[in-house]
Amino acid sequence: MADLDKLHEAIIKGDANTAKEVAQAVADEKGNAREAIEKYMITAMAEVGRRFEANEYFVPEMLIAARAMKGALEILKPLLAEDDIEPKGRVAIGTVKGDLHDIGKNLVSSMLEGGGFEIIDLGVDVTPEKFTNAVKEKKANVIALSALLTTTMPAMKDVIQNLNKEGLREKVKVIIGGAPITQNYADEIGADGYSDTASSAVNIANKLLA
Amino acid sequence: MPGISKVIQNKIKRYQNFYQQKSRSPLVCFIPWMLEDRIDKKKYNIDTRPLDKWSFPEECTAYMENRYKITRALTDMTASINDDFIPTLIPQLGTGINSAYFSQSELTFSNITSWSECVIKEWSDLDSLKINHKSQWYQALLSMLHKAVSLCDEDICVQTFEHFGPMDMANALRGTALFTDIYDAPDKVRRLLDISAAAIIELEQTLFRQIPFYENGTVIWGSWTPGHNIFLSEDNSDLMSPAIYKEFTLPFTQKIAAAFDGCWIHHHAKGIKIHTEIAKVKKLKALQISLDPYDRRPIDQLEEIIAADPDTVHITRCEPKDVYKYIDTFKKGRLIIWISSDDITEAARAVDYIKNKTA
Repeated sequence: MADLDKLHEAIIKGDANTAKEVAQAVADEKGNAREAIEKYMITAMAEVGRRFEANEYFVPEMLIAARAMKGALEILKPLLAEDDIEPKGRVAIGTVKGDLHDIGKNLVSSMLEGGGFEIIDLGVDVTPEKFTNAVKEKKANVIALSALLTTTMPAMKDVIQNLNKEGLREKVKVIIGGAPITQNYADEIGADGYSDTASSAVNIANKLLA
Repeated sequence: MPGISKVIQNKIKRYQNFYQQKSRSPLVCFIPWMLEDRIDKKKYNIDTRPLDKWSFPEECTAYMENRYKITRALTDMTASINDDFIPTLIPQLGTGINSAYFSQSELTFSNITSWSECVIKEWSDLDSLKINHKSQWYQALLSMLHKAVSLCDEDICVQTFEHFGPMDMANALRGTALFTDIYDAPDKVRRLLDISAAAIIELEQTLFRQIPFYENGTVIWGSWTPGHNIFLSEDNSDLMSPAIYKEFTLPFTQKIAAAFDGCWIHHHAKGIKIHTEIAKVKKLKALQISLDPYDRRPIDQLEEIIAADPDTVHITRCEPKDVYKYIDTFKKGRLIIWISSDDITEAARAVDYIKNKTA
């Protein structure tokens, strides 16, 4: 029988091979994928987030944990489809136009995926039109915008304005984050949420979609 | 190449005393960056184009000339302040060129900075990694420094470059994958760091031959240090653990410092947990820590910083109002205090206050 505690530990330690082995065992046994994800994997990523905020983990440890989570999810996701389980939400995430930094975006992406959201990663230097298209064509119901530079922050407002222009603003929640971003700035540009850490982005997305 | 003014000579003497006597009377620098918007652009004939509106590398020497005019204007605006700041001109085109001179990749410019593409897609790419002395960005750097030296007058000194430290260089060459490589391929990472360190040393040796040796010292970011010291940034290590810094970055930073009389290191408040590890670099002349928006300001934790490394020269920034709050702390460490403000009168008062209270 698949050792789900081992799966939990493997994700926390960033041991992708073990995480995938256990996930494969769950799949081979036709075990309860939902239980594995919700009770063992999501909680593992929550613990990773806690350690990150407590300065016990740093970017490398967070990234290898996220990779282990992703590897196991890829094996278990097809089983979820059979159970007809919908993700909590569909998040189109990207670093805004003019900004090529991806570490913050990747961390938030990993935490959201670990928190049960489907991720549409649009990459870096993303135009407002690409975000809008993700809502139109891929049915994203959350847009997550990242910026590291004060000079690229205004591109977040452009994304929101473009959503308004296309009549899509009411269909999607917009959350923003990055080194220069504040709650005041989120309020100023009309974003729905702001997060100063990768793990709190999950709580905000959960609240916004509740 | 002109000599330096009496004012600069006197400032350097204060730094010489500070280092020779291991003084605990702080040096104080008013950092004029916040005044850039208030420069009389017409009077100084300053080109206001943002970085991405210049054509590089073709206009790199014209850009350098423009930086000189800005530095000249700021020097004139702050001449009445009795501080220890030494106006400094540095060849720079945003951070992209910090690795592009080595990687030879294209630069992407935004209005205030630039990036270069990562070039280590596969580890086999390491074998072909070396400085190409004919590459356009290497040549751009040489010509910018040459221009800077030709422009500098008795009030403004030249710094060779703002070098990436070995981990910053490795990150620029390898990209975000470097963070997981540390666990997946530690030996490859070490090799990349070693190659990076060699390139950084080679460039500094080349550039240093072009600039004056200011009273047998080096001017870095407005401060003088005794001997030939290299500027290094350790920004990427701020995102890693103290253990990783110790195991991966420190040996290569040490190797670079050992190639000169020492080093002057910049990092950020985000990396306060590695501050004491960086302070272990032998021949470290000064350790500067910049602000981060979500992290506690270094000035507010100065007592702890000094207690952890009482003999290290720490440099950090504060506002004029902080000076009155922390004046007693300033006497405890070996400090270079940076004051930033858009109010010259208020800054001058804060500088005088520190000088009077800590002499």
